[in-house]
Amino acid sequence: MIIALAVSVITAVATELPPAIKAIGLILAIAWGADVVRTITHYGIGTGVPSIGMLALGMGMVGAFAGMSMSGFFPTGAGSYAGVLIGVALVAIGGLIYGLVTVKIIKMEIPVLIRGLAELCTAGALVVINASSMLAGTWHLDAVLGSVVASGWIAVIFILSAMGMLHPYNACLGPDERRGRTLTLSVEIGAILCIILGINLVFVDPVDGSLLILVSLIIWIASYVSFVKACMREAYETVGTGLIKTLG
Amino acid sequence: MDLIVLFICIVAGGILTSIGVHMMPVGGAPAAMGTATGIATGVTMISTGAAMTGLFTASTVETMTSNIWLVALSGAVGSMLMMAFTMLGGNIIYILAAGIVPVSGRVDVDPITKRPFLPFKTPQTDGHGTPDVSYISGVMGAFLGGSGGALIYYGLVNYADFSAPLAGISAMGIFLTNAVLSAYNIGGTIEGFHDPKFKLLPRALKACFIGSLICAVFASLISYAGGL
Repeated sequence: MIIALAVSVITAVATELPPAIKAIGLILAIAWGADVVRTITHYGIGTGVPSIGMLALGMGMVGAFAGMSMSGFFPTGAGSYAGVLIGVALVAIGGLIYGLVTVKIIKMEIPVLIRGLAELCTAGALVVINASSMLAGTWHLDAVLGSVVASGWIAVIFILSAMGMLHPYNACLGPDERRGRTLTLSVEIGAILCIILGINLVFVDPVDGSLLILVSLIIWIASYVSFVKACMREAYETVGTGLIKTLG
Repeated sequence: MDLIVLFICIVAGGILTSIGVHMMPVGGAPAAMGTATGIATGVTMISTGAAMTGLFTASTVETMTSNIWLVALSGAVGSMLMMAFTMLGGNIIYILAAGIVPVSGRVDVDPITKRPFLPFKTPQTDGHGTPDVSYISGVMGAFLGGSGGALIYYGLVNYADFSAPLAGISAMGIFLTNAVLSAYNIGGTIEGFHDPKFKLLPRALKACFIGSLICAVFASLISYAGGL
């Protein structure tokens, strides 16, 4: 969790890094979110796992825009790099209040909920900031508004990163659920998001775009193969449909 | 002044959303097997679907007029249409394909049409299909939810100077946070306003008030610091 936080914050702050490295921060943030979803929904929340992933991205995205708008306060200097950190801190505080509301007013009896919601909203905000800076080259709001929001890519980022957080535990849920297998699935979905972002980027910046596609394709193939192999190994019995038999 | 109106729009939208979510007939996974009343999906998913259709109609009308009531009403109509078709489609499959009668599991007689439920209810199930009272409740819930989503959108466009795509996706985010809070309050399944769980509503209203205040602070921050 600490590693994921550190790496994704660094890739979010340093806008000059090539998108291929930001992709690693993005995938780690998604995996972090999936891990928190796994911890919280392990207790059973009654509304289904997807709701909490949507909550993370809903809150995280509005907070991420608030963080990006900090570029208005700090147009130059160190603030133009670190301003986004204020936004991330704000999201964490918002998530904390949200968790307190859920526990104190709604009376959800889940012990890790307060901390979990704060972490989840932070992960959601970091995903949106990282993905936006991959597409726009910076997280400054005026640039992001043009190339990410107005072009509609924000919807793709929203739903695919929500999917990366909520789907793994939803799919792997059960008595034999194993953390490593769940997180592998999350990494796989994160890599899919990066490939799609890369396909958009390759028309703007061929070198960075193709590098991003290459790196995320390698991550995707590696995580996909290891996920399918883990499923084949850990299942009591598998009946092949012929579709993915050759991989297993 | 704009800031106050923005806060009022977002908080009022959040509270309308919360009441709307409490009126949606959703049965979750058991409804998919025909063993619970309502639509076979989660509260968050169906209300988000309804809100999105509402946002489409609201944003279209918003380009033509700046009348707040017209925008809110058009959002409500979009949501109501989506909910009505979803429930109708579900009922057609339940009745004509699965061959089961829509009954409620929580009350013995329909509070509106006075039709008996008890003789038609399969033993050991919690009702099935979407009966009249749940259908009406769902359409009313979509009306409130859709107008709430449209109100948030209107506030963001007119009082925070958001562009249409940014306002649309932010309204989605704010709607989702409120819908999830309400979904936690009812614990996943509810049949409509006749369900005993509907009495838990005040708790969700308090929570949604605070939840949408946080979102309103973020929205005003984007508007002020982003120089929109």
